[in-house]
Amino acid sequence: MTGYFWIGLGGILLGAGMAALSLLIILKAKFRQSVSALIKKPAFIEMLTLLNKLTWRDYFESNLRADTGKASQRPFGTNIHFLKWDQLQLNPVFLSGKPLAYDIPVQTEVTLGPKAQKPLTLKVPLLVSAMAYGNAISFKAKIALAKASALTGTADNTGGGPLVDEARAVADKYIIQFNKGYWSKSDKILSQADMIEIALGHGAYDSAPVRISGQKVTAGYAKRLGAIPGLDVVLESRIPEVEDLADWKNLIATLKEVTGGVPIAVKFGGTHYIEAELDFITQGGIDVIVLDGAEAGTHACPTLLQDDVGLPTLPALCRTVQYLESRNLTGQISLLVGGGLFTPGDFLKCLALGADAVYFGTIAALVMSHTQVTKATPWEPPTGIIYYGAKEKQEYDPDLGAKHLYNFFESCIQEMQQAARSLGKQDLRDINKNDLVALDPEYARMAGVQYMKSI
Amino acid sequence: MQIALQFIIAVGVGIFIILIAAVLLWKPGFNLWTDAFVKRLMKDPYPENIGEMYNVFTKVGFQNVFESDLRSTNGEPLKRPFGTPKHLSAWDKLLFNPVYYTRKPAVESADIDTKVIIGPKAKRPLEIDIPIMIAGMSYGGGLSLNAKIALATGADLVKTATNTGAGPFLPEERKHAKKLIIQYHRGFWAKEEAILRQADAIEINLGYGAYGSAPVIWKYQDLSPEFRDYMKLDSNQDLIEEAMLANAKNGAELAKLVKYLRQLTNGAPIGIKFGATHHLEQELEIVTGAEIDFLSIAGAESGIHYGPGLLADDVGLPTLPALCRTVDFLKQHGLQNKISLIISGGLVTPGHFLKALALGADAVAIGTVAVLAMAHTQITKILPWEPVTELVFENGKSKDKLSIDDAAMSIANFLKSCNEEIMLAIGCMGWNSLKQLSLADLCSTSAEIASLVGVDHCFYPPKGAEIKK
Repeated sequence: MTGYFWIGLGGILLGAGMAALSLLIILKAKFRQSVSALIKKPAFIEMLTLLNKLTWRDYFESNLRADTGKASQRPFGTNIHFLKWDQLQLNPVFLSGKPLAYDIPVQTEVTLGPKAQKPLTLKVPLLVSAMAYGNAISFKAKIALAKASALTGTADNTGGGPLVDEARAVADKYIIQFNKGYWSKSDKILSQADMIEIALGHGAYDSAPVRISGQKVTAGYAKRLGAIPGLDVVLESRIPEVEDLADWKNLIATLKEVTGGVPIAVKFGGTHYIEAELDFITQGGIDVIVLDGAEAGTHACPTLLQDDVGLPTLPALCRTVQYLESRNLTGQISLLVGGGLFTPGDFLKCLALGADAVYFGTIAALVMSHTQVTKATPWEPPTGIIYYGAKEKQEYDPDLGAKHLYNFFESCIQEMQQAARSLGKQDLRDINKNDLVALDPEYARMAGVQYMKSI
Repeated sequence: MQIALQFIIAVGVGIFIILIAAVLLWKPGFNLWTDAFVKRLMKDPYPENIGEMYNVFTKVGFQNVFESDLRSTNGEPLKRPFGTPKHLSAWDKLLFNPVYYTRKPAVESADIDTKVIIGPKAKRPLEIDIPIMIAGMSYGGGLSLNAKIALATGADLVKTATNTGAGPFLPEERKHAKKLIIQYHRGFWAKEEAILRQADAIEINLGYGAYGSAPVIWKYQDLSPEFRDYMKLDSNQDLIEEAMLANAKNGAELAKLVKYLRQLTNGAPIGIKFGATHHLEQELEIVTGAEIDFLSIAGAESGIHYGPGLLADDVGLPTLPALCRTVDFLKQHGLQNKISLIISGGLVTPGHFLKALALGADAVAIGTVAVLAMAHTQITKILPWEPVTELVFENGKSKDKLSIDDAAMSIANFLKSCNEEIMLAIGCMGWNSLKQLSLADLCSTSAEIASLVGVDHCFYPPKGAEIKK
């Protein structure tokens, strides 16, 4: 009996020892072999050179082009950071001014279009950028945006798509875009707006026309648009109603009349011709300018238009502020800005530079997906959960999305308020260029703020 | 017998126990191991510390370490394909200016004209439908027969031109390409009159962006057996592109050569290709004196089938300044509408292409990205064990796996997609033809680039300039 026991134990120990040893030896040899093979392999060095030369992104996008033969459709806009917001810093005060105690509230309210008959007042100077139902995002996502805007006390926006009545019902304030297509232009729809945004174009797509393929125009979507299911829908390069200045003035007067005097905003993408564009646009009595810098996102558009066309947000903002000052329009025409703004720091710097409120889109799309992205990932991108064409859109929970987006708004606002206390300002509207310092002389000159060193 | 069986079972149980332990205990085990590793990393004297590798890699650079290993293996100049990975031209610092009401953007249905004529003064100018052509890439040293035919077919599908490169003339390529640029290069081959007569344009090749004017040697042992047969090479006969073209060692000889080629081809555009250099203006002075129809400038970022790292990385003028200086030269000498300009070197996206065109190039030539777009998903036939060159190069092991039809479709799609985006952008700027683009359609985010290129800095409004309506 003991003989068997010892043989058994010996066998187990031997087996265990052998297995452990061979595992170790195999792992070590395999590791060495694969590392040296990788280093020696011309394949490795060649792909390294190639991807360094092209960058991953260019290689990937070239392949998509080779596949479709059509203009590329990249979501979210450019990833090139043309200019750096961190070249501007805010100036806290310690004893030279008075930082505010925690119990002193910092005002965040803002009024858009103060000269309009019915100005639009928002509790916070932050808005989610225009996102269109159908062209871009799903019905449930649209509802989430509307709910979040109502919770926060800001306004929601139709984007270039049709007005979704269900979203209008849950939102408090609504901005309706007067688009370059032909839908959502009836008096009945326009009169539901708290602000009308004439959309001439945006930062990513600029003034290029957009064709929505008939495949996306399903029965339900077509009904909202007033289109025929299965036929292509076109957003033109310019507003069909406006060919010259007389048409422009006429359009603005009509819109004011139809809506009973809500602010009329004009949205366009940043361009180096911004002063000349503003010369045209500011005629006819508009109330708000909405600037969309070249870094702006979109649901999908050709990379060439995103990466290579348009004026970045920072100079677009500064030049517009200077334009309004030089024409004595500051205070009469409100200024909204968007495009590549992600953090409360970015938002506050925009306000300090002269914007009245800030639009953000890409970051909103990400935070409203938040933990729900797991329903789409890893096989589909995070956008799968909110995009109109995505398979997983039905799984999206709008209440949860609205809560997450509202939390993001709240968090940003609280940080901005804390920063304002540190700057010694009781109202976000009081923060101005004197609260900024530039780390680069060129930025200082352009933005009209002080350089970090006296020169 | 029974004991032996029991022993084997026991061994099996032992193995099983260890595997179970490995599954259950990998986490604490891994933790122990990383702890030991981190402690070693933090405590070992620096010269013995593995962390020193990080320092040396960041100092020398990953690529340099690996390339040095290759150099020490072979004792030969590096054979790096595709040219330099360095990004020497700041294309990202240039931006186009879209319009809304300063001019009217083109409507959706508008026809945007992207046709280009190379050598407008030639008797038989070369007309292409899109401003993007395939750069000179040779059969044999570089691409395989399949790849050459695929590029020719793909280019033909979108009605643009392809280029023989410095390789031999391929009747198959000629058959598949309606517009073929034949290179008159520094080797001895492909110079028969019967061949040159078939050209739609001739490009006299004086050198490369990634190789400068250095002589290029195609070593016998590097050439595929098929290619050796095709060239009817004697054993151990290398193919050499000399430093200088034997019959064009000065301006006068070059002019004679151009005249000869023009007569021979019955007035096809005759052009000259060379790699950009800081001596650009002097070179251009000589070259344009030869009454050429087009210039083909290859910037330092150009690719090549393979070449030494030094020549690719450190020799030559980058594409952006080369382009700007060439355009200035042509303007100053009143040659702008006489000599067409083709630019190449590190151009990858349609944004790069359109910027080069707006800066004054008449067309762009693409090499590296064309090869990759052509390979497209077929690269999976060889990944991950082999690189893309094995699929498309003549001495690649898997060159026969490349499907010509798929590859032709892929490159045609790539070109079509790029051109479609280019048309959208032109429309955005309120134009309806490529020819209307000018420097006024660009601005720059950097003062340095703005002054190099001659455009506005985007921080400041255009100076009093009336905007063209």
